[in-house]
Amino acid sequence: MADPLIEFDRVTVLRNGLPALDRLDLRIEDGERVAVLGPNGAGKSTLVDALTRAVYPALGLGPTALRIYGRDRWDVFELRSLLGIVTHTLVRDCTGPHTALETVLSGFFGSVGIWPHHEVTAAMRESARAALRSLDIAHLEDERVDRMSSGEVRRAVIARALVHQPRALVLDEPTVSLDIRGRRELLTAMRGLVRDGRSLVLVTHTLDDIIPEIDRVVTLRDGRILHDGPTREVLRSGPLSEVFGVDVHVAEREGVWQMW
Amino acid sequence: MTAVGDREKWNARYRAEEAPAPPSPFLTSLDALLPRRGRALDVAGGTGRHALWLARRGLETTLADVSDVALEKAAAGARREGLALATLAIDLQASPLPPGPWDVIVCTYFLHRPLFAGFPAALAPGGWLVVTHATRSNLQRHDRPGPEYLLDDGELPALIRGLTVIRSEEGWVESGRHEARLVARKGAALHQVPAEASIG
Repeated sequence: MADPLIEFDRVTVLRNGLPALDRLDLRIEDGERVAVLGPNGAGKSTLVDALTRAVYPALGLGPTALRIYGRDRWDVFELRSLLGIVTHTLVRDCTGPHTALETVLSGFFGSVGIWPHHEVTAAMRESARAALRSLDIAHLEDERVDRMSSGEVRRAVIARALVHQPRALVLDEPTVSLDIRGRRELLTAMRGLVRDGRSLVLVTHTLDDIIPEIDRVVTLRDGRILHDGPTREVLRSGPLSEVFGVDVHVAEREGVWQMW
Repeated sequence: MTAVGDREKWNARYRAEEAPAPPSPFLTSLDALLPRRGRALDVAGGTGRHALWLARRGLETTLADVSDVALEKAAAGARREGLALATLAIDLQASPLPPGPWDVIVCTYFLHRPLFAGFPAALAPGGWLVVTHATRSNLQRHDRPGPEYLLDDGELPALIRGLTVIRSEEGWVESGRHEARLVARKGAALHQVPAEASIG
């Protein structure tokens, strides 16, 4: 059996001396599709940072381990080639004068845009076009990213994360600030991406992003896990009221979730 | 380069720097391990990204650097936050370490190998040394630091004498650089070190 995507054993990450993650235990198997749900400040982005090794677990607080695909030490470039990561910072950085195709190709180099020293092969170009097709934005190949709609930019950046065929996709609040059309198109594209068995870790504060393919939900509050279970068990009024600290009502219709 | 030329080179670089970067995530991961009381020294710490972090945690911190421009920027940052920060204009390529005893010494991205011999004497009993620096493999992806300013791959732990190495690692890290990172402690037998911190 393949090594798990994530094994966190009692992981604490301190930010300004306070635990943003507090003795977190979490295991996500290769191929799982999981939503991590919680309010602002719950530690969701820190979880993504820890997974991508932008921050490290605090030392000196007791035994702890953080393994990704079975390893606790990683060459950050090797790790980035296995994980397709989309965060707000990356979306912002990619919103510039480069075309959609250049933006996707830059995923091969870990850069933003293509520069003179980059050697782009025909195979890379073909992979980039395939990634654009998989996000339904092939027609935008030559369009500048800073002239696209927010939803199109988001899809271009996800295509960039996918171009090197990562084993897992890690999306941090992918639909924030999208209108209903942009959101719907992005969610449709996401559904297509996980059907081939790729892992998905979706970090979100809203149920709207939870596509039907997600079968497990982990809730986070104050850096700790409150619930972890099948989507239908966790997305209920009781658990979600506890997570968000207000009375929450939940409804599901044809695999689309809402709370109010 | 002369001491004055060196200072001017760094002054020009620090004048152009807009704001100090956030502290290294490697250093902040040591937050629970390092003391919050006592004296700390940031060696050639520029505009104080690490000195300010140490001071925020409660350590009585001295920032030593050759660039008076960097020191003034760090002092201004400390004033904005209401932190006490001592600054010391010193060329550590030519002068010994400021006299201790220091409870924490942080030395990041400054390489002057003779300084390593002075760290044990400068540290207080139980004091901590944290070092990070790029190694030769970094040239595969970056032109700077130039070859003469890099550690050899695997060299850093061998530079540490008279201290207990608590953690030592090397590789491509979050900044995109190939770094050696090391934490050492004075007078600590390994059995006194928290086991989880001791990952060789």
